[in-house]
Amino acid sequence: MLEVDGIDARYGHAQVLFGMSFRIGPAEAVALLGRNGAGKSTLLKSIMGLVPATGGQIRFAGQRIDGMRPSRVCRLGLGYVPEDRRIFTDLTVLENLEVGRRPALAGGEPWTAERIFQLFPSLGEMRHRRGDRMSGGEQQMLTIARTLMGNPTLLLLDEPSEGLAPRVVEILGESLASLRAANLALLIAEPNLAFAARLADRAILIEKGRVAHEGAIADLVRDEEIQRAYLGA
Amino acid sequence: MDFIVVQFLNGVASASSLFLVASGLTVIFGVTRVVNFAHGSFYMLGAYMAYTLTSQLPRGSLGFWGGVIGAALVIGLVGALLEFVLLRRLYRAPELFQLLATFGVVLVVQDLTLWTWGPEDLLASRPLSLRGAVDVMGRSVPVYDLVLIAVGPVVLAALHLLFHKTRWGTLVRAATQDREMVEALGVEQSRLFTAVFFLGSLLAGLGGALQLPREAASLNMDLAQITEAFVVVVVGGMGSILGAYLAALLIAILQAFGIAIFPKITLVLMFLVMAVVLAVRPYGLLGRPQAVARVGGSSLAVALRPAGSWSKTAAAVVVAVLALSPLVLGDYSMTVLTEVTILALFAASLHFLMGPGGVVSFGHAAYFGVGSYAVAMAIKYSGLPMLVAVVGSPVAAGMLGVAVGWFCVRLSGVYLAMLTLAVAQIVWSTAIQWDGLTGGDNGLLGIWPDDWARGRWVFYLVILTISAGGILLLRRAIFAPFGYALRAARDAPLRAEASGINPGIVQWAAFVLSSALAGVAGGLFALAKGGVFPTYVAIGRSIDALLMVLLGGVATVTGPLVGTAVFVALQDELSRFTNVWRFILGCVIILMVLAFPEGVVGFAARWRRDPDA
Repeated sequence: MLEVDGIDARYGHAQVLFGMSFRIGPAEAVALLGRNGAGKSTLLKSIMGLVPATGGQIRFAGQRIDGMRPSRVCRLGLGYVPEDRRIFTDLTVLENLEVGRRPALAGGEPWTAERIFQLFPSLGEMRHRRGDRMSGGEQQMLTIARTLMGNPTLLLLDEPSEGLAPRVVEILGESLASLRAANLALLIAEPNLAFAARLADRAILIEKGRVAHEGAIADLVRDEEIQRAYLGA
Repeated sequence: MDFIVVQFLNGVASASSLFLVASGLTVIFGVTRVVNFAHGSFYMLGAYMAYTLTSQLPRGSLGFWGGVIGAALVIGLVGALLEFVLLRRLYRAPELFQLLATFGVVLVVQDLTLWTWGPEDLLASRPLSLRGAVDVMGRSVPVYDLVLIAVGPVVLAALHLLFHKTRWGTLVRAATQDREMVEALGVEQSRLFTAVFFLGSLLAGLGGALQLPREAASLNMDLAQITEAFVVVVVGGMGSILGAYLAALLIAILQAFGIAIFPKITLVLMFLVMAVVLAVRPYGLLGRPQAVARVGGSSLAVALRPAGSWSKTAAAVVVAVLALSPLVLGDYSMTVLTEVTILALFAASLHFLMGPGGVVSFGHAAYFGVGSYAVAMAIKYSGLPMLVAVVGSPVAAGMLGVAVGWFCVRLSGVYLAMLTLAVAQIVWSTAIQWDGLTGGDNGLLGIWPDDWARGRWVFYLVILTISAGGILLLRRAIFAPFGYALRAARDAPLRAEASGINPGIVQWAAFVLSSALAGVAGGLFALAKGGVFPTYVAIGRSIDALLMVLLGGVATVTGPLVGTAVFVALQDELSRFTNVWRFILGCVIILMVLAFPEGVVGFAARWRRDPDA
């Protein structure tokens, strides 16, 4: 459903992505692994149109999306969960969800606030709380929930476990696994291999803005040599 | 007691219109981060449009309110159109260029209004139902004032409902915080921005239309109103609508009592309130720290390089040519050249603060003006020799810089810009109102150079020496250790502090140096013109300085000098050959901002791929 074909991206004069290519099939879950600064976040942002791709093509659901505005990319069914959460701290939980709400594409039961609260019960207990009064874990759940309200068919997650307590990572992993079980496609940028391995079937290892290795995540977990080479583990 | 109540009601009535304009400004700024100078023009257009509509529609309440609301809607559409045609192309440009473009719009609207409605002030008649007065504690209060008193809270409540009870309002509040994230969630930013401009401009137009029965529509409503609205927004806290209402009340009520008790203080009063509020609460009454980069932003932070031998030779040749110019140029050309030479120093002083210093001063005319008055008074009242008097100008302007700089290095972004503007307005008001000392509106005349310097050759050489010396001093400062510390403080205050630089002190020192040299330019200007006038301190002169710097480009050292020449030439040529120079200048500014968002020299430098243009 997503085809990334030889894309380049740069910040000013510094090129970050060099001719990256890969594909993600329907309902597939893929982990994007690599060290800090390898280009994981930039890749997600250029798929979303937040950082323009300066070369190559990106296709999603049969359409060229490189060069499209982020809002149009979102409306095609790509949901983006940013790494630093970026929830609206002046808005309540319900209002944050409202900003993300979009009509569902054909088929499927649309997300509602009530369905969200079944997935993340702790959010349901604080529907009128403002974003700046929530813990880091609650904010992370809210940022995922907010993106789900747009009824995406592919979810781009940028380091969802970053900076969270192990207990919270556990809960988050369960919620994401249940989304996965409901056939939502995932692309997860994640430095934490164990967390990624629970959710993804396949891994793409990137280094210095290039795809260095692609394969089943189960093989990667066993292959300590590759881990040492690309993840610094 | 009755006096207090009546003045109070009068103040609350005035607050409503001020609040409408300020709330529109704050909503637009909150979402789009555009400081819209043209907002005052929408207020003015609202008043004129209401005049036209109410005089076309049948008389009576229905016609009056129909005209007022119709005018507001028309102005809302004009604002949306402005966003669609112009500002949309500038969202990625530095804030200052947006400001410059909207100032271009101000100039264009002034001439368009003059063509359409003529130079006369226009006063609309109130419908009969709103003409009477009500007896309050033995004094009569106009019914219309009571209507206005109600309008403020009604609009406040309506805006609150709009922003908290509708999806659109929720999107607007979210975009105020993180517009890129809102876009990534599928909300088209550009449509949201156009809608926000429609709402904000509608509020400004409504404010103007409602004010019409109290105050005639006139061509100078725009700048007066935008200044007041800025003050209200800053005092209330950028982005806070309730804050804007409280600030409008505070300022309008103080104004009402000020006019009644001590009329001379009114111009100063508003700005004193702002200075006090910002000193105590740097983000206004209900504001919170902005997540906005300092005005100017990183895109202006281009590396500066010291002049190579080629550039030094070129500079020496230019100075030599200038020094010899009295040989060939006629009297008129010499007058213009003298002006350019002096204003180049003024622009260079502002550039020093804005570029390497990263501190934008919206009221640089304050120091220029203080310098010019210092020289004028020294010559007029003490009969000091010219060169001694000129020394007084950097001292006086520098002292003001010490005081203002202390506040300024504690503020950033729009708050900083507004405080500097407020100081300039205080100096301007003082120049007008303290007529015993400053000559008031008539200024001080007969400020001529000493006899030895009367010859046009000698006088020009004196001016050139001092101006070039000042510019050289600023250049030296940029490439001295002090200049490096200053740029470090601008680009990375925390890292600068960690390496032993005190960013506040360094910026304060830059502020003082810049104001002192602006003062020198003012002093020379007084001598060249033979007098001083309050216009030397008016907003217009501060804007001129910004235009000169921005036309030339902030990112280069030579930029302001070229910018000064371009600006003076443009203004001079245009005002000589046409009476619609404002319209043309405005269009030129807008086109230049669209074509060269880095300024003329910045553009040329990029074109040549040489950062040291």
